[in-house]
Amino acid sequence: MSTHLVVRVHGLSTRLLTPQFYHSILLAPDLKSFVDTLFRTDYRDTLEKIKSERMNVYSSDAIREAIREKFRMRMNLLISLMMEKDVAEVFIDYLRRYEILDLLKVAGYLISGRKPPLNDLFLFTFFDSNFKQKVEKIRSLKDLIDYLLTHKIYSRTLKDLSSLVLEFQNLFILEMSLKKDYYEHLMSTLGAKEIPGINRLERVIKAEIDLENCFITTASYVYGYDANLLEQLLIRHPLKLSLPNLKQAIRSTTLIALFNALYPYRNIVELVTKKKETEAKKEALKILKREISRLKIPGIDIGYILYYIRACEWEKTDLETLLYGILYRASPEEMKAQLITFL
Amino acid sequence: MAIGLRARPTRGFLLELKKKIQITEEGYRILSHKRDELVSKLRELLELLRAIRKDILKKFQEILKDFRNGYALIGPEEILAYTLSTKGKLDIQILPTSVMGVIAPKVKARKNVEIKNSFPPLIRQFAYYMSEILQDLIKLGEIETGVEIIANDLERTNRTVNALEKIIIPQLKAIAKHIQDLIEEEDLEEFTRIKMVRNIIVRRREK
Repeated sequence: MSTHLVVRVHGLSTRLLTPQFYHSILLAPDLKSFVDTLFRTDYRDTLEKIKSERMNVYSSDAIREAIREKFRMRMNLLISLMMEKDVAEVFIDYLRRYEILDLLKVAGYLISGRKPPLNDLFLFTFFDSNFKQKVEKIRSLKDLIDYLLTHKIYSRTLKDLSSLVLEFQNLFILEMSLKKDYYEHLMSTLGAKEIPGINRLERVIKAEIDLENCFITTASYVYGYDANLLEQLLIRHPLKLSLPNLKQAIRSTTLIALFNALYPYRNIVELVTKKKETEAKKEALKILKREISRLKIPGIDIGYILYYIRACEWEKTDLETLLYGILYRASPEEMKAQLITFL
Repeated sequence: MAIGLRARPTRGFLLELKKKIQITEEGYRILSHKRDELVSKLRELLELLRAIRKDILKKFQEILKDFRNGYALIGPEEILAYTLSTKGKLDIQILPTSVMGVIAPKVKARKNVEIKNSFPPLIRQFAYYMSEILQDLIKLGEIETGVEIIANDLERTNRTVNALEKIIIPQLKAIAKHIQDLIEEEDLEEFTRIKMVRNIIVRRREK
């Protein structure tokens, strides 16, 4: 195992923002103070670009772009540090979740009849060095589906559902089929590699799959989603929820049956059935944070890399929350309650 | 003449005028009823409007708070994609309805935003609440327009009723009275003249 890589990631994680830092940036009265405070951190290089261009006037879009750029740089650096092919493959596959976000955004723009702006996408090149050129060539939702149907990972589920996506211009089916193929491909990659500590990664991914499945299955009872469609979107390789249980949950006609089928996540199910999904998502995130914090062990373990990736992602999300919170003059207490760091 | 009538002091004209006064008074009574009805309808709509506005404001605050929390959890990427993809999913039809002869619009949603099979977790909840509030907003728009139309008509009706009550009917009555007086005067004059002529004839016969 690449000891050097994990040691480097431990080093990189010291550049992540601390809870103490969040307490200080929460008090920033305006965007200028926000940028000034952030300027003293790892974000200096990306913020410098917008500072020199715009003097002391900052637009929220430029700051958001600087935050996203830092995230892109961190992920690119991380992948470039991976000398071992197996390890690189695992984490490249893990990071495909950002490719899905890009594809979703492209699909959203295409459905709205607009051309997707490339600067609004992550466009990581380690999945596919020609991804940008391919996206540029896509002119309609049909082009996108045609591209995905030839993709080595995303074509499996989509080939049965592509007509539905096209006919109803349905982003939900597209997203869920992409996610299903993403998780199943990731699990098969993890299963094929013999890397020490990989089972810890598997456990976290399985927990993610459980939570995704939990939200998918409740859609039938709470919002009347089509049961057959949901069954096709269920992701294999769950942790605590077996596939028969999940199918039973989809077909549940009573609340008790739903609770029984999804018993390990009953608190989440309860919130979803009460249509309090924000609270349910928070609960899910707490579970995930708990699972991921187990990877944050001081020793040399590959799991630490996954912890670092998620920590970077949550930092990006939190900074975006703070950015818009400060822009719309939310109180520090209000903003703090919404930060993933303090969940 | 103040009301634009060319008054002729004849019996025929007086009869015609009396008929006209009767019709005007009938019209005044009907318009007055309409005004009362419109006032009560307006009051009812205003109360409803106040209640719906208050309810919508409260719901909006809750949804926005929830949306802010959700936005902070899942980030802007996914929300943006779904926001872009939900165009033109609402189809409404505006039907005319009559309130005391006043045409007010009634909005009917022919096709609502489809939540089923369309949104992922969290966004489906926002979509659900927003589609619920959209119904309330349509109702609010319908009531606000109705209030505006009824208020305009009420103003016009009120002006007409006042004009009838304070100007037209009194003037018509004054003209009728004037003509009546003139006719009575003429009758008296005629009667006196006939008497005088009869006296002259009687006196001549006596001679």
